[in-house]
Amino acid sequence: MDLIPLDSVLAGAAAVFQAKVLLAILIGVLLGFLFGASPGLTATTGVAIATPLTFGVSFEVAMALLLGIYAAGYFAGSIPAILINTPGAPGNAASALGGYRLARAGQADLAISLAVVASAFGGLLSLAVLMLAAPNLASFALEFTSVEYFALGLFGLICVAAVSSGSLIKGIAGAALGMALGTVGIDEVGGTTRFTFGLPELQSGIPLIPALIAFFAVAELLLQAAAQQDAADLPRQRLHPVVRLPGLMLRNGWLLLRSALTGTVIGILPGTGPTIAAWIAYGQSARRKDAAEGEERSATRGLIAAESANNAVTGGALVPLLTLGIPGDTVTAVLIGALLIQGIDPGPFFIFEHGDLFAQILIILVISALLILILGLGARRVLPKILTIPPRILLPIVAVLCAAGGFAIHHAPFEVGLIAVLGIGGYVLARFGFPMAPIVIGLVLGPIIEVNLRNGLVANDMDVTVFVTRPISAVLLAAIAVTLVWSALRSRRR
Amino acid sequence: MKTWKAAACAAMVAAAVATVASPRLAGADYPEKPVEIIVPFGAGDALDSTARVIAERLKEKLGVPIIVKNIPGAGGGKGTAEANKAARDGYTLLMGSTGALTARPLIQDPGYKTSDFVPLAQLVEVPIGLAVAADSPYSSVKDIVEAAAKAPGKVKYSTPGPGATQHINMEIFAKDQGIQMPHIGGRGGKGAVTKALSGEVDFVFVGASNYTSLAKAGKLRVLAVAADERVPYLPEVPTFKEQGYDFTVAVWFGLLTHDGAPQAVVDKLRGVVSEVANTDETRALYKKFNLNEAFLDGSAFQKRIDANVSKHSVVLKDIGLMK
Repeated sequence: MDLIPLDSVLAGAAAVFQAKVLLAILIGVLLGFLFGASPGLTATTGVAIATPLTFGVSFEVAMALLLGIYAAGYFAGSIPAILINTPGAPGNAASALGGYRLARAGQADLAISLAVVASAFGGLLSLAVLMLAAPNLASFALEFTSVEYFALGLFGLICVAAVSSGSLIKGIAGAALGMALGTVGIDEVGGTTRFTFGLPELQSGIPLIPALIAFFAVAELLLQAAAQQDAADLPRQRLHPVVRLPGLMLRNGWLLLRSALTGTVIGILPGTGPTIAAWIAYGQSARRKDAAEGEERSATRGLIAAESANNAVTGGALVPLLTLGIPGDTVTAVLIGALLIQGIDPGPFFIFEHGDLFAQILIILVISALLILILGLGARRVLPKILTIPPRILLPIVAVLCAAGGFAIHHAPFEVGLIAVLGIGGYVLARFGFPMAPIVIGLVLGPIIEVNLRNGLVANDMDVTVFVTRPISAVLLAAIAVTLVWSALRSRRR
Repeated sequence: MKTWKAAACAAMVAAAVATVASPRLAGADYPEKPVEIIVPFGAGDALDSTARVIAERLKEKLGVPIIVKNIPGAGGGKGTAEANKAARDGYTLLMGSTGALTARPLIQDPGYKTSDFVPLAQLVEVPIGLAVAADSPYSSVKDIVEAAAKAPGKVKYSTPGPGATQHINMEIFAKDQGIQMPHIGGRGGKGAVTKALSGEVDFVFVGASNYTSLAKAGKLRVLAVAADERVPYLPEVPTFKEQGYDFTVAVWFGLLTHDGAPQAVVDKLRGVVSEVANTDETRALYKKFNLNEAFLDGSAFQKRIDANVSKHSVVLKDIGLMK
């Protein structure tokens, strides 16, 4: 395939390197931080709100603003995930597991640095893939039918159930509970309403963001309140010099690369996004040696994997958008509208006809990734101060934030009540040693698994053998079997 | 500290008094606060684009912020139900679409009735087209009908989802032709197109704006549009009528507000919406989004809604989807 011609790159660069465009990227990145870090608001919301503002501006300014929000929004949710165990967006939930553990151990500075560097790396690697292989990868996305999505969904679920803390049985039970919660609402295949108990609010199911806030933040709040721990009990926050980061990254180079590639591939697949990418990468980060290596080491690896993968979704999701006109995730779905308003109908001709615009998009995303790196590393000294606030003051503030996050979704009290109910449920489960992650991932992946299982069967005349005769699906199912056997052996050894 | 607290209390009391005391009589001073447009589909959807185009213009005319709020889910049912819960004061508008407004309340109880809303204006229509992947063996509607008649259940298709206007109408078409075709929902128009491209289904029946560039690049072949006339951006594609099938599907988008809003407010909104919808700027924006302008004023829109409901109540019973 052809690379973008050099004159297109130069034309693109000339358009981007103007003061107003660079300023728009900076504003976009700052807005992205805001939307990403606030529980209840996401990068998708930010891009949707900003799109009408771009009706009257040029292509490069519009893209600078929106792509800045996109890239920074996927990263910023990791900051509250690390500091207060409250993921700012669903894609950062996996980061809460490792990151929050590090923060509690006095390593918040390190955790934020890792998240920043891993995010920037994931974003940049996925851009390289977008630049070099976009047209070829588009056809890969079309290899995925319902059969493959079913197998992928199941693989993601098993990964998380297998690696989460506690026993494999409790992990799987949590995943099953999450899937059961995922059946609430209108059944996408048959159109019937299930388990809504007459509440119209539940028609579209248990919404993900309130569930996330409840199972992660509220359950943790209650656990801490019950433990009556004081800030004085926490280890002092240690500072981590930036010069030690490259070495640490190099030691985890393979993990970083593998997670970024996982994120890119999942970004390419329409209908999947940063949440699934982060969980699968997190699941894969666990290693046999983990038990021996200690908690801190596995937390570090999990955080690197999750953040590298969720930001790699950005470049991946642009592949089907710019080559087929089909969005790879929810933000790129919104971007279609922004491109149309600029008179561009993204599709198979886009890169070919608008090489300079394609170059602009790439350059803007590279600059955004660098800005995340600079601003993120700049802020890491200040932000961990949050952890020195005594819990009796911090916990109520986080509780209010949780409620506000729930309210922000639809400006309605229903989600706030839902957070309270699910949060208390999560607390009870946590007291019995059930890990929270599989419950949430079950809620995310349950509907994907169910719908694609049923659609896959309908599309193949109810023939169950398609799941093993189609190669991608067969490989994924084999990987599931290996994962299950491996983690069963591991938990026996413990 | 004490003075601070006292000041805060005073401010709160003042705010509460102001809220209670502000006159809301017959909406003479409408609008006095931001107006919200609820879009019951996700951001980036064609319905959302329409709302955002209109919102920008309405903001200038009404002089207050217009907030576009996306509440997707349940095929438009969730957002529409949410709009039905808002106060009946004309400060909450609904971006309504055919399926959510005139079919879903017949299929189940979604928390609203069609008559809960009073129409302000119909704005645009989206032509629906039937497309197949480039390597498909079918090259006309007739090919598909014959293949499905020969082997029932063999020809499969995709639409944005079960209960969507596209799905209901394709079921009507199948029934009229005496054929049976399994349906697979695509979780939205673009998702449905993906299913045709990947070969999972044989054809896709969605808004033509979803695949114009794919059609131009030859990745998809559009076999027919279910409109009275050919679509300007797909001029070489024949209609169903031209191929001998009397089949048209219109998906319309229009603005409504709550039934029970003060008449003066409804009248004012109808006037302003009509004014902003019929400008060249608005038309130019519609064109960019591949939306067909189809303005109908409040009463004409009401007639169309009524006609849709009576048609849907017959066909939904026929195809077994009616509650």
